[in-house]
Amino acid sequence: MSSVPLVRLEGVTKAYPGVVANDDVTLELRAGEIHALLGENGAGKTTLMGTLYGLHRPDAGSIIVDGREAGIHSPRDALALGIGYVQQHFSLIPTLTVAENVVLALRGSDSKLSVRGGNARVRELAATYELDVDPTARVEDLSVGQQQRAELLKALARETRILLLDEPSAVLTPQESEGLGVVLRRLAENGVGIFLVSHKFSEVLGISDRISVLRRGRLVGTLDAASASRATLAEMMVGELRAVEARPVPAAHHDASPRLEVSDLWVAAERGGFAVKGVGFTVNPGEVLGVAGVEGNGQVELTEALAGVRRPAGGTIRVDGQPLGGRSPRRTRRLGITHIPADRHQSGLVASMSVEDNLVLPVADQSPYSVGRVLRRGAIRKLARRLISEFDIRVPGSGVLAGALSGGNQQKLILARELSRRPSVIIACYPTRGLDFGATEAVQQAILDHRDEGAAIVYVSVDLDELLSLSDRIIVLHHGALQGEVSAAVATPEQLGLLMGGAAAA
Amino acid sequence: MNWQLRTRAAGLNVVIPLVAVALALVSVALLLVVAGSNPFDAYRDMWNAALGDRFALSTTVTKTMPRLLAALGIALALRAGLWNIGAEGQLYIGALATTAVALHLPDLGTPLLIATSLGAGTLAGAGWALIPGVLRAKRGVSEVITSLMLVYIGIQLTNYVLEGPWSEPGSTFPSSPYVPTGASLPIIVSGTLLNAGALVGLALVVLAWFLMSRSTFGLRLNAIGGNERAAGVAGVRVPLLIVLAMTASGAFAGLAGGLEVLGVRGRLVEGFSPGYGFEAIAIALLGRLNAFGILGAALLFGALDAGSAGLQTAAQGVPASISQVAEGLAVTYVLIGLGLASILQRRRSARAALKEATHQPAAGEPDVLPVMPTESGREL
Repeated sequence: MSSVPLVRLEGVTKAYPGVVANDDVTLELRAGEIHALLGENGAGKTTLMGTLYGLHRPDAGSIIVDGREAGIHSPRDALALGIGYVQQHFSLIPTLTVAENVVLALRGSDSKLSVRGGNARVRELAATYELDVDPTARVEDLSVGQQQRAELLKALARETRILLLDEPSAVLTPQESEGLGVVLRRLAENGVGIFLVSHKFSEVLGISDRISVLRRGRLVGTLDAASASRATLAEMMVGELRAVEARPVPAAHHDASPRLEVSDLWVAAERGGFAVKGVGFTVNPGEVLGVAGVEGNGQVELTEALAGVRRPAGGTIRVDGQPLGGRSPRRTRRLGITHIPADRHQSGLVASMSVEDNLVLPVADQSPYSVGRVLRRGAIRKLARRLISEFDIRVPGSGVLAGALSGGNQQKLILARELSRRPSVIIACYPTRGLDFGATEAVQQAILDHRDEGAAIVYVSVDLDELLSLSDRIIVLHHGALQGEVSAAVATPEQLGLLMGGAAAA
Repeated sequence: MNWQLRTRAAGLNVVIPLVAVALALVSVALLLVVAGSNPFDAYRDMWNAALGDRFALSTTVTKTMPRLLAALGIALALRAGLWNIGAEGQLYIGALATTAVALHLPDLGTPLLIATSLGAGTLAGAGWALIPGVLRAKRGVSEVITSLMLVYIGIQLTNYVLEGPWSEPGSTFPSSPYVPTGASLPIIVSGTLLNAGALVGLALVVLAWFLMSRSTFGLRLNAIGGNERAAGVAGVRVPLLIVLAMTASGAFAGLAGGLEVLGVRGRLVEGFSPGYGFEAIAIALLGRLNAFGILGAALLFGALDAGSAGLQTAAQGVPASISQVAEGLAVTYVLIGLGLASILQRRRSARAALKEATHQPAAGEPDVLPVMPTESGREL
């Protein structure tokens, strides 16, 4: 291994409105190493990779490739240097075959390839790296894992020496992730340097050589994976150790009859077929039902059906014994169901409206916030002020636009709106996604407080640690069907992982 | 900080349109120089014809009214993110219905006859906009296309009535008979063109302001315009409100048509609107979807229209269409100004963030970044 590192990022700084995404980051990538970039969501990992790939220019600092300062102004420059980037959202053309996508990726480079040659080349590459993909298959017919392999093939066909992978296992089952690890190891043995972006230390510990931890845009440190422990990494990521406290389950509520009863629920998928297939469960007052599953296995559709956003194709939902078949969000709200939607930007808040207008929106027609149809600003402001302090929303005033808040504060805003109505059922879909440690804890605590007061809670997450620490019971969805139900007290991540991958419940 | 942010943004909403109008007038002056005319003479003639005396002023106000009403309606729909491109058609249909009632129920007596015929015009305009509203709410059909197509149907329907059932033998230009005098809106300042329609217009500015800024209806429209999906999740009945917003929007335009018949022309004339309903889209944007801003923008367009008549009479070889050039340029400059303002603001806050990076913000310090709001909460 030569002493000159493949890539050296020196003092890279990148600021966005309201946040410094990368602050004076200095890092090296050696040939043949898998270098994990670990950090919580929002720590600046993806921004750093984007800078290296030429998607945006750093405000300060330099990128040195092969010991020479590299002026990377665009992805084209990055590709010419042998940098390949597999982003979280794939850049494949769904209607073309794998080989056609690969050939398209090579256009403009030196290697001229026909589609037929492409098929052969893809087969050859696939065999070398044990990437199991049919070159003649259309991308749209492939599973997410196969699509990721197609992306990797694209990068390999370009003779990538520096491979950037952004959260590659987020869309994979634990078993598929293992397969990916084997492929990456093989690539590294062939001299490719790999930056592996992740927010889960459990997955980087196994396969990386070195681990760099980012926190709030800054590099906390770089460790040899061999000498790193979960505890040290966790501490580096969050700045302090988060103790998963054992919490007493309020048993009193458990004798009561179920608050939420779902049976044989079917929900149509957007592209035909069903996203939720015959799912049934009950949730008692004061109980948290965790919903586990690889992202995109029907969780969003399930929660939207429960909240009345989506009309179920079949089955029944009962709240305190009352059926709620295909009602609008307006009606389900009146029955005491509240909904923390999966995507706070798309479904949660109106970014272009003020904080107070967002808070009052669902209750605007109620006294004291309006009389007749006339809004009463004084009452609305009072409500906003109370919720802002109650939920610790960091905002200079209730007239500020919701879109100007940080992600954590936006989520607190939605929680404040949704939980202030004393709901009897809370449907929370990925409520802590993308939040830093402090905000995550605040959100979880707010939901648990309502559990203690007797609310029934459906809590969807892809983070097994989170589910195991919060839930009483956990159900696992796989391809929209109920794969199993386990008690959180006795479940293990491995057991859940197997269920998420489609294995039958033991 | 909040206060500063808001005032700065609100200030921009006033400053940018004013600067844009000034720039448009300067640009037109340059065009006039290139065309070999004296811009000062041209502007003096325009000033005299638009604002020179009481009569000129009343001309300006008269030419402002249909544009104002249609623009208020367009703004109302646009707050919910709905582009009612069809105000022109709603205006014609409103005028047609008003004329029909005024002609066929002459025995009602003045106040009732005026109210009934204007009411008919308002309802007809609303009905014409109901079609794209329902199609959008129930089927997701783009209201831009449907409302625009209905413009031509509305105009052709009016033409058919004027050239067919209502055609007067011997008349040179297709028009309806004059409405009975009892149906005409009274002139409120004698010796001028100022009719009672102007008072209706002012009242509607206040009504539109109330609807958009002070009512639960307006709050929900803003929510739909900002994020239709999130509004629905928060319990807003989105389809119903889409239909209501489009209908209300059409009602404004329909009333504008009715007022034009009863207040200005006394009868329905083929092609009576030179595109008020289309200009109104530009006025709504220039007025930043704010009722009072729209009043200002409509007055400007009305004055330019009245002023261009002065150019024609002065016969300096300056085409009257330069007033339309000025209108177009004003809107263009506003859009450029808003774009620049948001870019500058983004840069500034990024720089501020970078500066802050050297010292960690104190605990509890709000992490908020300035975003430029429009009065409606919509990005345009």
